[in-house]
Amino acid sequence: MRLRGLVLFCLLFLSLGARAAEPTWYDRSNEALLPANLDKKILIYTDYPAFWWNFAVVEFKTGEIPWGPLRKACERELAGVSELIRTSPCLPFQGPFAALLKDWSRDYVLRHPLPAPTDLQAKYDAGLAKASLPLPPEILSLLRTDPMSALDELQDLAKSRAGFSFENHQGFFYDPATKRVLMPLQVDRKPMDVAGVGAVKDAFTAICKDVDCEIAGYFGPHFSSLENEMQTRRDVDVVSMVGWTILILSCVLFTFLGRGRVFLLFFAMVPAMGFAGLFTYLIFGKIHGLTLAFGPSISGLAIDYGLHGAFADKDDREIWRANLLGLCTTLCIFVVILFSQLPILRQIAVFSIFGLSFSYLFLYAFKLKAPALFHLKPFSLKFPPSKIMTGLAGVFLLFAALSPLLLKPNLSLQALNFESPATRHVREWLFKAGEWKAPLIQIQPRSQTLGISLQEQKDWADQQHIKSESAARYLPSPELQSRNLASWAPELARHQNAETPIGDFFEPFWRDAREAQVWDLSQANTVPRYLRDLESNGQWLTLWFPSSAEQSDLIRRQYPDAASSIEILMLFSKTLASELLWMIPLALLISAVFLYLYFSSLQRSLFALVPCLTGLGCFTVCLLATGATMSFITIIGLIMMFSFSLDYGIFVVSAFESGESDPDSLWTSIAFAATTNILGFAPLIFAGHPALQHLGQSLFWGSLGALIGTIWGTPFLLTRFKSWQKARA
Amino acid sequence: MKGARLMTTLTTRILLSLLILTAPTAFAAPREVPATELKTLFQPYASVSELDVDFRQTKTIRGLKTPLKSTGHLKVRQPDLVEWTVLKPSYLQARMQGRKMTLTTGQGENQRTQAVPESETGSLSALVAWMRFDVEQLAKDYTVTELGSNWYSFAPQKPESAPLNKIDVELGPERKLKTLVLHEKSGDRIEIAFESPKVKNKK
Repeated sequence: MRLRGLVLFCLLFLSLGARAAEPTWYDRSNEALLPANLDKKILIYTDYPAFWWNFAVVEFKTGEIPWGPLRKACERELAGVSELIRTSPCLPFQGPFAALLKDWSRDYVLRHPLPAPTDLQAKYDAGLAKASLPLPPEILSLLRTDPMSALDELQDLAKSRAGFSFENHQGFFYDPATKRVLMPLQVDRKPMDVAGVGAVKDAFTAICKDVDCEIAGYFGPHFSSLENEMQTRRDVDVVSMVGWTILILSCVLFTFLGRGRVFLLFFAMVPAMGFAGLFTYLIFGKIHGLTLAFGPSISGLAIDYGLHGAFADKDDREIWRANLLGLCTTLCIFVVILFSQLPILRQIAVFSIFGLSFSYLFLYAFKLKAPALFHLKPFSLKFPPSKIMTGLAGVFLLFAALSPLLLKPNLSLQALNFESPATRHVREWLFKAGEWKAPLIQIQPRSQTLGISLQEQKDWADQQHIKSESAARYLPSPELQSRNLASWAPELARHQNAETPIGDFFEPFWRDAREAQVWDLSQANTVPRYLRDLESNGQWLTLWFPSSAEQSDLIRRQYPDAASSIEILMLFSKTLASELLWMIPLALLISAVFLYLYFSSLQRSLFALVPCLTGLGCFTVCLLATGATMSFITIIGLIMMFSFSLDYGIFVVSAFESGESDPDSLWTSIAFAATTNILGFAPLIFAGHPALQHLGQSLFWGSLGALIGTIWGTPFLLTRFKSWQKARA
Repeated sequence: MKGARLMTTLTTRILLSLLILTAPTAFAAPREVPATELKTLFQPYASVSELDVDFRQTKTIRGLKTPLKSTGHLKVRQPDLVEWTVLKPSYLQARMQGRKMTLTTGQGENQRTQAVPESETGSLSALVAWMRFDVEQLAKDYTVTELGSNWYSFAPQKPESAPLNKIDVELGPERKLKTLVLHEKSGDRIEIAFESPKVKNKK
């Protein structure tokens, strides 16, 4: 098994281990994926708790919905995972939500002026009437902090925010047509942090056992992250097992054939990976999980140079010159990527440049210091010319030329999202039956005028009868808060130590209200708990809920930076697409210039590019034939494929240049390298997760096409070209 | 002065003598009421299909100096409807039909009705269940003891899962419900005095 494949599997595995251990050098943040100007927008889903809502969809096959037992089971089971829960209708008076209610009741005096005496007395009387009922202690405590029925006000605001057309049953949503109940849950941690989310899922499974329902699916960022991670783990387990099997079988086979020492080359590259990691860490301060997964696998491409040198004659300088050219052309690709706006691509490029360079140096040092161990006798391999295979290479070249027209990559981050059939079904149902519409999203940075602009937004939305959600919906401007608070001063003083039912029973409210302070969102380092869903690092979230296309247009005209979630996610793909438009041609151009400088012939330089192009053509044909999709990861896979197939082209053209058109050493090294590539990446095609599947498709199909181009494309063209030159001479 | 002292001493002695005389009754162990007797006690309610009664309530909350006073109306419709309506200090109605409970606050435009989850009804649901006067069920759920002077105490059979510590009941003339005292687990105490019940018997 070839090192790059092995390293890829091992590091994917290790990266999962590293995630669990969370060392300080390890980075798994989404910030590293995105350019600075985009991360604030794209990361809204991870940064703002307003988006941390998840739903378990349960289905009742027969009879009435047993609301009472369902709620009881929900209370019982979720109590076991309450430390993970921010808000749930099943745990209304526990955890962060209880603290939120306290803040909300206290700040009533900031939101509203003191009511007229009759209204005020009516509110007190309503509170005391509720308190007269026999109630659980936690409800009674809550009533003591809420003489103004502020909780009803909060409940009304929450209902208008739900966005589903389903019936609301005490916080659960119900669709009578399907007998499905949507159980909401806000998780109290960022969506990427899935530790414990499995236990939440288990709690829902237990609920369904108790009340005889079935889980139709889960929907939401945390459940989605967990589903993705679980699928990746399953895939990596399978791929690792296949990888190790191939490695062991290869070891046995090569040892049996007397070439077991070939595996020493792999060990020579291990320190190179360590150095590449060290330098990457020194430059960036952290290494992202994706860099750990892709960096070593790209750096592992340097094994081609080792194989090319190992199966060659001991003093073959031409071989190492060709290796150096191969290295330079590969480095060109990654130097161009260094100018990407996407931090993750820059980090992968840095790792790859160091990894490839150090690997080359260590392999060359191995050859110099221990030539007896390094050199191996090549197999006697012959690939006779084949019209069929040459024709196939021609077809691949044709498809490579057409690929810019035929390939339609989906560069959106959503393309990398794994969705099980149940999740997809539930998502589609929610959008259709629940008439759920994604809101328009707007972010406001902290500024002196933040309070005013939020208030203006709210007033404008109310004038236009457009539903909106922002901090201003919950808290007026500081000036208004001050006026409201001042109006309460005599009432607060009147009830201090008063031995009346109102003074005595509502004492917690009076005590809290006397401590209430005007919130200035443009200054405050802390914000009231009821606003924390809408704030992240001083940035404030506004959500718009247009009910029609006209309202949506109106919002966009008034606030051009308001965008839907899909538009925000597309920012990543737009950035990537605009970069690929110049990066790929530039990288190919610089590589071609290097080739031209080395071969001093335009034709030979182009012939060296043939394996790259047949690789791309083969990938295009297979993609079209299977109806598979392309993503950001496919592009990375194709870049890897370009790197190694360019080396094959250079090796073949160099061999022809030096007069040996069919040396055993050349074909042994290429066949060994390409075969292990093909075998190594084949299992990834069958992965369930789109990211691994896309990587496997680009590398497997690309390797296959590159091998055909190397054996039957480039030699054919070189022979024809030589014949043509002779005829011309 | 001497005469006044003598009077005080005499009064003290008389009171002490009275206390000593009544002590055996006061310290006597409460008698457990068997299910058959419970049936007899609540005989007037066995045939009741509709009950309407006003009440006055005093809730003493542990740690608070001032008790909460309220008045209202109780309506029971067999088999499973109970409406507990508070009229003062403000209108509020807790309505329980079967296992479903709704709470209505305010009147007219300000009226607001919401369903109450079972977990939040706590002692109220226990009270409402008691109000159904299902003697067989009461005998299953409570141990009933006679406290004397028409006072009976209902202690839950399963105190750990019961929302109330106990319910004390005073029966008036013709064994009509006169006073209910709810002892909540929190230490709060609710005393409900019923006035002029209107009863409609089953046909």
